[in-house]
Amino acid sequence: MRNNDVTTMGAAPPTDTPPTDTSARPAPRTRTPGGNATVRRYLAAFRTPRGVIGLTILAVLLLTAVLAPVIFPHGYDQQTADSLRGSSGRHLLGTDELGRDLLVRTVYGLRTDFSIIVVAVPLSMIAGTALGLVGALSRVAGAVVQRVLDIILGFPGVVLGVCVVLIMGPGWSALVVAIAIGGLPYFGRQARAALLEQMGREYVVAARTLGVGKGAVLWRHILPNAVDPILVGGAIFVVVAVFIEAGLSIIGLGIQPPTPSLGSLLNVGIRFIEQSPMYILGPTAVLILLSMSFSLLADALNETVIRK
Amino acid sequence: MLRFLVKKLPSILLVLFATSIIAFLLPRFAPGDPAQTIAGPDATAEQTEAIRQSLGLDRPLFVQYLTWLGGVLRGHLGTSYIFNRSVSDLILSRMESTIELAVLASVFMILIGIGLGVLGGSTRSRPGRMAVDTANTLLLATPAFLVGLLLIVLLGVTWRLLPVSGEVPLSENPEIGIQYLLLPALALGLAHAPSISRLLQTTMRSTRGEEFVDLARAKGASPRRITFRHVLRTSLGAAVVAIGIRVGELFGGAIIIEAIFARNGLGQLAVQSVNARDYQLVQILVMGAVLVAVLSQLVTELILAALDPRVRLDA
Amino acid sequence: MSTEPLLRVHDLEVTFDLQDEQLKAVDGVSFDVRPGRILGIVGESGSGKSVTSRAIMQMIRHPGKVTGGEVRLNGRDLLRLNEKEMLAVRGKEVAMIFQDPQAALNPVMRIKDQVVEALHIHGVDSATAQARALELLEQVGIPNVPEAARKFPHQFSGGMRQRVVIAIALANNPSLLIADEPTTALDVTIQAQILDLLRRLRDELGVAILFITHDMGVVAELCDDVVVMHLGRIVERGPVRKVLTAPEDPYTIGLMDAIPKMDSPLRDDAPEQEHTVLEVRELKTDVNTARPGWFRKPKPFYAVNGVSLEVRAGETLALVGESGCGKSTLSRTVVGINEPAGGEILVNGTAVSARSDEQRRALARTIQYVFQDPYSSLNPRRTAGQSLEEALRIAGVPRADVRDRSVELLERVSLGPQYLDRYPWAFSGGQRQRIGIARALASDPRLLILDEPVSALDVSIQAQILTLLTDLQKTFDLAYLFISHDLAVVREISHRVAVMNHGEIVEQGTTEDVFENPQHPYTRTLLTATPDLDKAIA
Repeated sequence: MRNNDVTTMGAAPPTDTPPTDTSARPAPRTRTPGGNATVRRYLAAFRTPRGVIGLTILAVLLLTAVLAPVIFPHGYDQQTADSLRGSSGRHLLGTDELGRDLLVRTVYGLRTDFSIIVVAVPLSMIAGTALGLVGALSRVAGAVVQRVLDIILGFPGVVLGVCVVLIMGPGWSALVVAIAIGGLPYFGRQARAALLEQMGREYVVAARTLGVGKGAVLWRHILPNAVDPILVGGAIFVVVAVFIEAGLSIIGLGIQPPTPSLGSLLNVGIRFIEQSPMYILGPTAVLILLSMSFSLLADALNETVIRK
Repeated sequence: MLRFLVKKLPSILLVLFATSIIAFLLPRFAPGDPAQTIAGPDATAEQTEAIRQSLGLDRPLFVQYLTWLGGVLRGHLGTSYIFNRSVSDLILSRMESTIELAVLASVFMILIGIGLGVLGGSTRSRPGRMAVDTANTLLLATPAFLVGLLLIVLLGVTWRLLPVSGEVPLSENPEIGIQYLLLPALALGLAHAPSISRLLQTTMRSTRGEEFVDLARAKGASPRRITFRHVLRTSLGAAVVAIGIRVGELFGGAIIIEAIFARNGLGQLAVQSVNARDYQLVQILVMGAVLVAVLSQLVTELILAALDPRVRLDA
Repeated sequence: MSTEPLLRVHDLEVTFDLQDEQLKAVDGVSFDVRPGRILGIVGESGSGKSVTSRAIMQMIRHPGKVTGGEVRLNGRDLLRLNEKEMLAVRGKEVAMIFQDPQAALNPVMRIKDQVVEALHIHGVDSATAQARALELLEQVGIPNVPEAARKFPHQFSGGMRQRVVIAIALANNPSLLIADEPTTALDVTIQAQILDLLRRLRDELGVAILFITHDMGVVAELCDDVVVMHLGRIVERGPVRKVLTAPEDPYTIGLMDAIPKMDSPLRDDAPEQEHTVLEVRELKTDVNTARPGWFRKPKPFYAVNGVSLEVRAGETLALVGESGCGKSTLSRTVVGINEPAGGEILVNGTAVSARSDEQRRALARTIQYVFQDPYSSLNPRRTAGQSLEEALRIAGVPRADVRDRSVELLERVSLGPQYLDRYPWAFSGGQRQRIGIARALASDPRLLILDEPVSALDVSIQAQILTLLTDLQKTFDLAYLFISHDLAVVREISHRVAVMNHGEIVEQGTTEDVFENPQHPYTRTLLTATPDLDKAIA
């Protein structure tokens, strides 16, 4: 490697090296130090078309779910005589087999799903990242952790869920545990990949030769540079988490009716699919919107935050 | 190639070994008396005692494990006390349905995944890319069971083109059987396709920036030739690895699809056994699922080695 | 000399359509290439030389576009051809050789198939192509062709791969060969061989070569004519001898001045003192960590195999060698990045090791490391100030003094305090390297290990950094262990030289002794292979 072309070719995205003044980039857009630049990169992601669409959908869903008790103060269990009806002015999404309003139940179902995501995904993300980074402190521990993650990875998502349900019994907590464990290898591997990549970087080596301790190197140099891919991974994993909830609930091993969740609504809805195809419409649409919002956000973040 | 296999063997054995421990411990983790748990809620005191005897539940855990594993390895998969049949019988009778589903779904998944991936990885035009990206995003946001439900509502309930509930084994009547199989397999395959196509697409796009693609252009190779001979050929490895992981997941996903389409396969058997707490059966099914997942990953690594001389010759 | 040009580039203009601006990468470039001649296009990074060469083949990458001019090959304007007509030109009339032979070959195709493909595309039938491919591989000097032809690229060394790329380029007897920095990624001895090969092919086949490079030495050795590019324009042109000996344009003059020459005066400021800062005795480093099996121990591979050397206060000891010779591993072992497998490291006369953070910190007070790649040695998430702060805090500077000391450090490397709060991306390569040096100076060390500190930089920047290093050495009485593959640079900066090959030091002595009177055959090979600007045009 002797001249600049080499390094630029290797590091830059596949465009031909456009001529840049070697002496200095004349006027770098003024940036203030600290977290501001990071925050701004993320804000930029939310301004892309995908980011805007994803964020809007998510905001509407989240707001509806949070405000559900205000919007529908009567709760999700109010029965009427009109069972399995289609859409009408009074029941926008129709009614279920007990005459309960399906719009209300779908919104409360979404609430359940959010409550699972909010607990399980960050839990998995933090634990998985920590496990993946263990290798920075001790090589042996890192190798052992990787083996354990390999074992978890051997279990297809639903099968892992089945095992957890067998031990804990079906319900909210089993779902949270199943999702959190299922995500461990996913985040662990991502963190480890980032770790290995960063360990090879010269600034990490430079810090090590200065005598900066392992913990400080991890905290100051490796973690900040590993956080972006893990956040993108987190957004993608929300989609997986929603699928696991719905999947397990559909086969009756997740949220148990009459508590509504997107999956448990589908579980019952399938039984009445011939009489009332309308039944599954609400939960299906919300599920797709929810997962789409997160995958759009992941795309937006991936494009603006990571490709830098 | 053999060396490559031997190198992979320890980690595979480790996963299988760990799985066997987890499967073994499942009934013992559950609250209550394992013998009672295994026998099921309707068992008499004598039956429970008989189980305690035959499984050696009064002996140390370690000995129990060895006895159990030894039995499984010799093909004694045990008896389901709830179905009152031997576990191997039960599994064999349900196997065809699930294998048919998984195989056809894999075919759909691979065809659609690679097709979309190549399309997305080779389209230069903006609208073309947008179309492929949108299709991918939509498919990614739609899990197998939703694709299944939509197919049921559209083709089974609204237009009634294909049967959506039940099954006919292909071995009995291929013509009718395929009609029953088509929708569930499509649902399962379609939902798993985008993760393959996305990976292939990104790999192809970044491969396009490699210098050997420039060299191919400088040789005078046509865009078509570059896409297939150079870009796709070198990117395929990534797709193959993704396929390997997906095939394992696909078997897991079959549990839900079988429930939706009312197919009596291993997935339904698994659900029934979990609901009935039939641990003898669950243990074997869990191990089977992991075995399939691990084997499919191994097979893809072998394919990868065959595709990429760097992997093959350096191993 | 033939009068009709083979290639006539006239008023070529290439624009990059970037998000916030239109960037003219090539701005009104004109030149001719005559049959059987070698024209060099020389320039620093960003001069537009590579873009020009790609424009000829209509292979400019997005978002670049040719926005004006003509490229006439045998009178026909290539820019007016559509993509389909261009396919028949590429590889048939004009062929291209790339910079990085590692990346330029398809990793999953056998060598022969890649040569055959070039023939096949242009309508040669299979049997003929097979035979011709072997013949070509023979011609470019691949040993044991029948066996080698069946191999994959990763089984070859860099030099051999570049020969294969050349064979592919020659497949259809093109009249023009475009070589884009074809020797930049190679060691000097391999570079010399490739240059020989190109010269021979030109003589034997009469092919004209357009040679893109940043290295004046290579131009002097290979080219007949040269054009010098700077910021998208040609600033000077003419026969090589004339441009190199009597440059007229100020840019070319500056460039020629910046290039370290093999006959410039040696340093005469060797320190009087005898105090040894660093001594390495019989050092061994095992770099093989790949275990062949679960229960078998890895076979040791000593990248550093029994090396002894010493660096005295205030002097520069240069460690010279080609890639893979173990020079970087040696320096990394000294600062504790790699663990020694044997031998001793003495700092100021006492044996040290750098296993724990404590030991590293102690060692770091005396010895500091400056890295090769200024783009990767600074954390992109931390400002220059934060990077310096970390080093200062470790060196025991109280928090209250950190900012003042940081400014002081920046001033030492001729940067102002306004740079403190900037992130690395806002710096040029040269500035980044200055910050890397400032960081290393934080603990007031006695010795800097400089690991190829200028090899990623353009010549003019390289000269500035070398001057800075010399000044710092005099001001602070610093000792340098200067690691480099570039003999001309080494000759300029060092007092003493150690030549390393295959993990061992083959020759050690004063710069004068090693350069004027080399004892070891390997040193002689290195010296002969290094392109010598002055000898070539003398």
